Amino acid sequence: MDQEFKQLAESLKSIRLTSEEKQDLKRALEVNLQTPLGGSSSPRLSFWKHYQLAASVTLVVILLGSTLSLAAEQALPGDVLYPIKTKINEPVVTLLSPKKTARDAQIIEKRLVEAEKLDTKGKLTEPLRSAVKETIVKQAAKTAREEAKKQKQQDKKIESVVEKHQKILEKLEIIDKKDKNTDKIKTERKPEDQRHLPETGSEIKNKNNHKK
Amino acid sequence: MAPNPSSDFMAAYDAYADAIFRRCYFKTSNREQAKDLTQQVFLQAWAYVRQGKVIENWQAFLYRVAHNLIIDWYRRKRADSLEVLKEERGFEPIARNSDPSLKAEAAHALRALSQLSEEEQALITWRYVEDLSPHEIAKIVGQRENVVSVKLHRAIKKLREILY
Repeated sequence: MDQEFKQLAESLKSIRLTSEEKQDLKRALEVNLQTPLGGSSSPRLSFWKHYQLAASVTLVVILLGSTLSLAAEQALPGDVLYPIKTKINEPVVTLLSPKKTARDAQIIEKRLVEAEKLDTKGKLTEPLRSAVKETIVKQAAKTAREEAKKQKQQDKKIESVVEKHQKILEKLEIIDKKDKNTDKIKTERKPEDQRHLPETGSEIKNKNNHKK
Repeated sequence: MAPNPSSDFMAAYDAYADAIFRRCYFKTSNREQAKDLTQQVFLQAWAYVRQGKVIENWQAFLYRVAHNLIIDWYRRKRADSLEVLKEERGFEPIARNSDPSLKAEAAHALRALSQLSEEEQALITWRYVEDLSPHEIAKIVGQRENVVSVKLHRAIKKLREILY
């Protein structure tokens, strides 16, 4: 082999652990050898210890989170925990709730109850009043929009069902012949099937004015 | 004489720690990282022995474990694979060593090696740095000895062209 080639190989051989490094590593490994089967006291955590640590940390986080969440339920506008109530607790419950409309109505009622509590304590300051009002109006408008959207989707479904089964519907005299007007079917519904939209902001205002 | 896993293990450490460290160092270009990986190699080897398994060829076993750990290390660094890294980003497994304690000659050797494929680098370092025979290398890589010899010959030829 060429001389230069040999020199290169030798230079690479010089890359090694120092005697101190080698001894340190050896000591760490020897500790591991002395540990009984199933245990490990190596500088690195064993998989089981990692798992235990992760599980403990997760449990602590969940417990802390639950405590905070519970405490936040009592918070009023202006309190430190109020954002947790409105921005974490309520969205989570809404997401998990199968009856969104009922949940939305509950949220509006919650805001009204909070406003009443603040008013009783004499803490319904002007900024808070505006904030609460804005929240209620926004929530009501959002609910109304979602309801309108749902209604539209429902109407579309009915339309397609009618189109698909036109002939039999005519035979059963549920609809008039060649009359695709779905209103005829709607009017056959019982009054309690009629959806009641939450009041909009202006309706709430008007109602309050009447009360005065 | 009854087999003694502990003493076999420590004997393997004394014999191969430097070689394993070098392998890890060539791949990571970082002394601390190389030491860390070396420790992991031996810890894994010991874990294997503790399960009651027998290691016939410590050298081959340790190199294979080192190879796998290095791959994992690269993956953790968001590397796709050594070869893909080289192709797509021009990443050189042995390259850009910033270790101030590294001698100029060694740095030059590493730079030259980095222009070879991973397999070629491994073959040359095993043969000329670790002084392994083609037979021993064949056991590590799991190939026939004559295949290893042919590949080695090609790798040397390529390295000469880079150097001269």
